[in-house]
Amino acid sequence: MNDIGLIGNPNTGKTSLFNALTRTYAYVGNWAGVTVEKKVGVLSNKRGHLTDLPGVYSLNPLSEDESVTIRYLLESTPDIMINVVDASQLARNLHLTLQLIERGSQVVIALNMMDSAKSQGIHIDIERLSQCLGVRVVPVIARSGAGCGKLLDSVSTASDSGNPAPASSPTLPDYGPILEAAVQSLTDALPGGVRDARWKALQFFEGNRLAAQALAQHVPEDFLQSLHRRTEAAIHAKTGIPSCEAWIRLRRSEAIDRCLQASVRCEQRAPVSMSQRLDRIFTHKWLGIPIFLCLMYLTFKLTFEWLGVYLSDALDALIQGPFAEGLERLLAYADASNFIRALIVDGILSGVGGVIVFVPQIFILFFIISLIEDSGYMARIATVMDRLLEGVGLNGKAFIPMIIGFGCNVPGVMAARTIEQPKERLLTILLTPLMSCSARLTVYSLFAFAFFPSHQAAIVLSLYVIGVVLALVLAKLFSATLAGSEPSLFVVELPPYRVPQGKTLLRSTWEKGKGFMKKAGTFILAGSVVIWLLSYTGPGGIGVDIDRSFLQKLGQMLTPLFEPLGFGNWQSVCALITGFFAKEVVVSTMNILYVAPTEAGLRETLTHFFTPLQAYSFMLFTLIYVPCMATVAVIRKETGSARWTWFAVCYALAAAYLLSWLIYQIGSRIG
Amino acid sequence: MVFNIVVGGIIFTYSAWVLVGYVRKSRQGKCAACAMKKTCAARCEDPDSTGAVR
Repeated sequence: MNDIGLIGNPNTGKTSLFNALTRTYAYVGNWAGVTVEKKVGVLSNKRGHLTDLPGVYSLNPLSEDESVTIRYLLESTPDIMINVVDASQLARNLHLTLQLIERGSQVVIALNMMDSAKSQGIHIDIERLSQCLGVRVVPVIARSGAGCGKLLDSVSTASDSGNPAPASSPTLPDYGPILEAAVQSLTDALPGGVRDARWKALQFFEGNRLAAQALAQHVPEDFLQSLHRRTEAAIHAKTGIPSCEAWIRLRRSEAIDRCLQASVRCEQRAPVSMSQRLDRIFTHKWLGIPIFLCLMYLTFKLTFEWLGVYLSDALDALIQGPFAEGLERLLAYADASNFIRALIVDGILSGVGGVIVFVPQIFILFFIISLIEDSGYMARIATVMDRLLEGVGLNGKAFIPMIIGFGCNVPGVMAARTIEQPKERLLTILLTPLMSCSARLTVYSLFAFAFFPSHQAAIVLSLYVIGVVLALVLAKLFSATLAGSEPSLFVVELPPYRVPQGKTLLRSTWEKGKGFMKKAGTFILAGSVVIWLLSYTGPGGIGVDIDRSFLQKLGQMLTPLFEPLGFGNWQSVCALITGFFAKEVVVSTMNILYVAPTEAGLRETLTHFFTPLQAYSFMLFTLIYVPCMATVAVIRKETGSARWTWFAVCYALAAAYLLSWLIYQIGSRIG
Repeated sequence: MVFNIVVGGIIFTYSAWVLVGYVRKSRQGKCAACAMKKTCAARCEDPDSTGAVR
């Protein structure tokens, strides 16, 4: 089977193409930096493995996710590279194409977003472009799958022909006698058998650290440095261009311009596009953040008040009504013992049912998030937050992992790979867990409805805002004390706005929400069994009263610690402990320990244990206290440091305790 | 009696299997949360522990 790599600039549709060519689903989003790790699938014609790679602007990596792509090229030998090129951004995209051709890769260009190019008045002569570049060019629209069949045929033909990539593509730049001589000198110094020697040499002169490391395995470091210095000085003396890197980029740009002049025709268009007009509003200096906050408020209104709560109540009535009655009848018919009956009804049905009822709200929220992602607005959020984040030692790019963290903290932490500066990346990793993930939503939904029925959206929004504000405050503190910030440049590509495609939206929503439902049937079910067992057994044996159970003993030991926060009852303490494994389990545990089989019943019961102030304190604690187990594990992997991982857990616990204490104590005094 | 033993056995066995698997997968970190985890053949890379900039 062939090994085929998908490579291209960020946000050119590689993952959409990957999904279309392999008939699988990898997460897509309309902003740069969605894919931060390579993924491998099998082509639908079964003729090869396809590797989806993070987007790169050039083969000289700037950030951790770009390094994944470059390492793939350095360490493996893909048979074919499918270079996904944005047809509306040829001038920028072809820099990478030329680098791939220089590498000697067998390249097939998937010219994507042809519809977008056409709408911008860009007409491309595919044949002439193919002749210019010396490689096959196939126009596609990855989102709809148009052209994918032809692309697969081209890839098969390229692989069957087995021809090496053209050594002299008409468009390959001539780097001039000085640089060419230096490249020749370097390749001559390398031992025979070094793969892609000329390409590595060119990359070295272009400042590619990974290429330099690869070459340093074969030639002395001082030889490399001396050659680089002499070449740079000679180029500067002759042309005035200050560096080898700038010289290479200039020659490449000239070669690309020649190619585009021959193969692309642009119609006269209005000087200001619709995207630019919308950006004047959405990225406005003063209106940008308020617009974002309003959008979030409307999102929560829809999720919790206008639509979600009705669907949730209906589902609760269904589960606790006909379903529970049917289950009871079945157990009675089978003459099930009290133990089994209690396990299934009080344990599993209470625990799992208590979380399943929130599925409508979860799906509504994910749908809206998918809408924001696919429309192109996500990149604008990073832009409007940049000024705010700069003030605390981060840049706007750090907000994208945080937004992803609103869905699930695990991919949010991983998305920090797109941040170039290591200290900013570390800060982002540490602070992303403060973003309220969808799992915590079950807790907010329960308490907000029980204690603030007319202001649910505002209460939930306040929690999200507190999470963000706390992240900003701690970023300032951490960058001043622990992980001192370095100046960084905020550069983010703003994709054009587009109307989200229904199929993509539904698919994206389903994939996000599916995970929640699967967790309900697996981990939450298993967790409910354990929690129920610990509440059904005790020092007195099996079938003890819940107030004499093992769980009660554990909770009782820790309850005094939580009294100053306003929720000093053992049931809520135990719920928080189980929340470390998965935040959704907090609600499951409460359903079991408060012995309230329905959501309505649990809300009623909670009003006997909490006041509104105590409820808010509890929600705040749930927002901030330790990340879940899966998040802690990924923090460990991404930081590579046990010390920083412990720090992430401990600071969150301390911050949660302090804030909840402050809110409760001050609120109690005010009355 | 048989019903109780069988149903109880299935529930507890399944729960134990799920919990052990969850803890193991959580240690893997990123793969556990990946949409492609069932079909992907890649071994996910650990980034540079220094997160060094290029």
